[in-house]
Amino acid sequence: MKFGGTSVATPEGRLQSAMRVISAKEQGFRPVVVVSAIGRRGAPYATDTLLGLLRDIDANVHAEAREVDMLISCGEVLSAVIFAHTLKSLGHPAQAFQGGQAGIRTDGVYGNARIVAIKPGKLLASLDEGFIPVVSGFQGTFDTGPDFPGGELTTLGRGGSDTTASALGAGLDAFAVEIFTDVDGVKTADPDAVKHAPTLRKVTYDEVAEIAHLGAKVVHPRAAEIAMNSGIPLWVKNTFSDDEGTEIVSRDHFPGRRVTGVTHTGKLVYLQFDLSQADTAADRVFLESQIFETMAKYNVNLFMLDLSPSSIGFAVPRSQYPIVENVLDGLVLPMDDAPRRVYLIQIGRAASREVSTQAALLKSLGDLRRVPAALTEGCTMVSLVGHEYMQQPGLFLSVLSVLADSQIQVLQTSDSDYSLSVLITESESLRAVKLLHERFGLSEIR
Amino acid sequence: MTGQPSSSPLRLERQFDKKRGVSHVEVRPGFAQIHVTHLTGDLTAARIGVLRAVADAEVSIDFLKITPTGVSFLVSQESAANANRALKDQQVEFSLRSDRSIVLVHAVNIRDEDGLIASIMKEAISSGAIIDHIGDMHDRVLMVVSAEAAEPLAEHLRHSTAVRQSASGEDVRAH
Repeated sequence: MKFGGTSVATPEGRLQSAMRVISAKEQGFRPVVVVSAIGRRGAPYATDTLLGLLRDIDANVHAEAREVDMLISCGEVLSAVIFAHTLKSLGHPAQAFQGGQAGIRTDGVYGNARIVAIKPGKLLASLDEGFIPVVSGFQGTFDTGPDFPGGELTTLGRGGSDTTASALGAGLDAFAVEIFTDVDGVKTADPDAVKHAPTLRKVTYDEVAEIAHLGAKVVHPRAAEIAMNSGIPLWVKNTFSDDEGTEIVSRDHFPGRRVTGVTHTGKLVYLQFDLSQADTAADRVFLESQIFETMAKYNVNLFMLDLSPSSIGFAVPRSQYPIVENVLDGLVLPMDDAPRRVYLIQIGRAASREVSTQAALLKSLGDLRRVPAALTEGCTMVSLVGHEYMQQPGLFLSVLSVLADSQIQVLQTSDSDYSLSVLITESESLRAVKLLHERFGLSEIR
Repeated sequence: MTGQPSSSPLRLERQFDKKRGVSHVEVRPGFAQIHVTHLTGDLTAARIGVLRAVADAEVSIDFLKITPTGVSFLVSQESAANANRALKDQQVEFSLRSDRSIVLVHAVNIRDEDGLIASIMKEAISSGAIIDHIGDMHDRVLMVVSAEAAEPLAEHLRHSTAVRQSASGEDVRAH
C-alpha cells in the first residue's frame, strides 16, 4: 500500500491512511506500506524545500549528486518514521525502513537510479514478527563493494515512490499493489481540463503506462511496467473517499477496442530547420548529422521528430532550450570540398548578434548559406490514448479536424500503437483536451 | 500488501525496472511512404483534405508528419494502391515510395534519456542510409528506409548501441 504526499501531509490524512492499512490487516492481509515525503511542493519536508536548504547557503556552489540524494531522501525517511509512529499510536506495531534497509538495490545513477534487485529478508522478518513495515519510498542503495557494506544511497527519480511500491510488490509476491492518492483513480482527462472526467474502472497496464508517459500523474509508468512484468494486480485509489478506484490488469483480462483518455504534458520549444539551401544531398546529410550530433553532445532530449525532403524538425524541453540556442544559433558548418561553401544556422526570424557577426566574418570566405530554423516557443503535447484503436482509418483526420475547427494549430504529430499525440501551443492545451474528450465520447466511458 | 504466507519461492532474480538505453532494434517490413508536397492556400484545410481523401478510401495511416508544405505518412503496402488512387483523385502533388521498412530502436523512456534520440539519429544518418521519414514515441525512435537498406541500418545501430542478437534472433544488451 503506497500513500502519496497529500495522503500523509496532515495528521488527519495520516490517520485515514493508517486506518486503511489497519483495515487491510484486519482482513487477514499482511500489509507493507510505502510512503512519499510529507506534502508537495512548498511543504517543509518536500523535495524542493530540502533542496532549498542548499540553495539558501550559496546557489552558485555545485551540489554533488550523491549528497543531493542523501538530502532529498530525508523527506521519505521522516514520513516513514512518522507514519510508523501513527500506526503504533493506534495499537499496531510498525517498523520504519529506509529503502536500502527494505532491500531495494539499485544501479549507481544518483538522482535517477533504477531498481535492479529486491532483497526482502528484513521486511519478511519484520512481517513474521508481527510488525507492519513502513518503507521510505523513492530510494534504494547500490552495492559499492565489500569496503562499504551499507552501499551508497540513491534516489529513484520521478515517480520513485510508486516504483518502490511496485517493485516491493513484485519482490514480495504481493497479492496486490495499491497506490493511494488524492483522486479516485485513473481519469479520462485532467480534471483541470474536463471537470467531471470519469474515473476508469479498469485499464490495462499498457494503457496506464502510456497515459502516464504522456502526462497523467496518477501513477508512474515505471510502476505500471514493473507490475505488468510481474503480473501483480495494481490499483489506484483515493485515500479520502470510498470510491472503488481503478484496477489495472493485463490485456488478456480486458480486451477490446476503445479510446482510454486524453492527456497533456511537456513544456516544449519546437524548431524546424529549413534545409532547402543545401547544395547537394551530401550537404543535407552533413547538416542533419551535425545538428543531431550537436544535440547529442549537449545531452539535449528530443521530441516529435520530423523529416521531409526540405526540412528536419524536433521539439526540445523548454528547460534545455537555452543550451540549444547557445550551441546552434550561429553554428558555422563549413564544407571541405570545392566549391567552397559555408552553412550558418540561424534560429528565429531575426538574426541574433551572434549570427550577424558570424555572417560578416564569413562573407569573404566563400558561398555563405543560411540554415534558418523556425522557432515556436511555449508548446506542449496533447495525446489521445487508446487500446487497439490507433489503426482506425480516419483517426488522424478526426483529431486534426476537431482541433482545426476550433482554430487550434497543430505543429507536429507523433503516434504509437497506443497513442496519437499533437504538438500545439501550451495556451490551447486545456481547450484541446476538452475538445478531444468530447469528440471521442469519453464522458460516457466507465 | 502481501497476501497470506505463501510457500512459493520469492522471485529474487527477476527484472524490476527496465534497463537503461537501447534494448533492441527491430525491422518491420511492408510499408509504403507518401510525401504530399506543395499544398497551396489554407495549409491546414489542405492537409485535412488529404487526410479525408485517404480516410474515405478506408486506408489507415501511420506516423503522420506535418511538413512545411504538406504531410508525410506511411500506409501498409497492401493499401498503397488505394492511397495512390485517392491522392490522384484529390489532385495533389505527392510521391509514393513502395517497399519501405521501418527500423525501430527501442529504449525505455527514450525521450528522457539525455541526448539518446539525437545520438541514435546521428548514427543512423552518418551510416549513409537514406532515411525517408523519422518519428519518436516515449519508448522508441523509428526510421523509414527502403526494404534493402533496413537490415544493414538495423545492424549498424545494434553495433553502435551495443546491442547484439542472440542465437534465437532476439536482441540482447551487450552490457
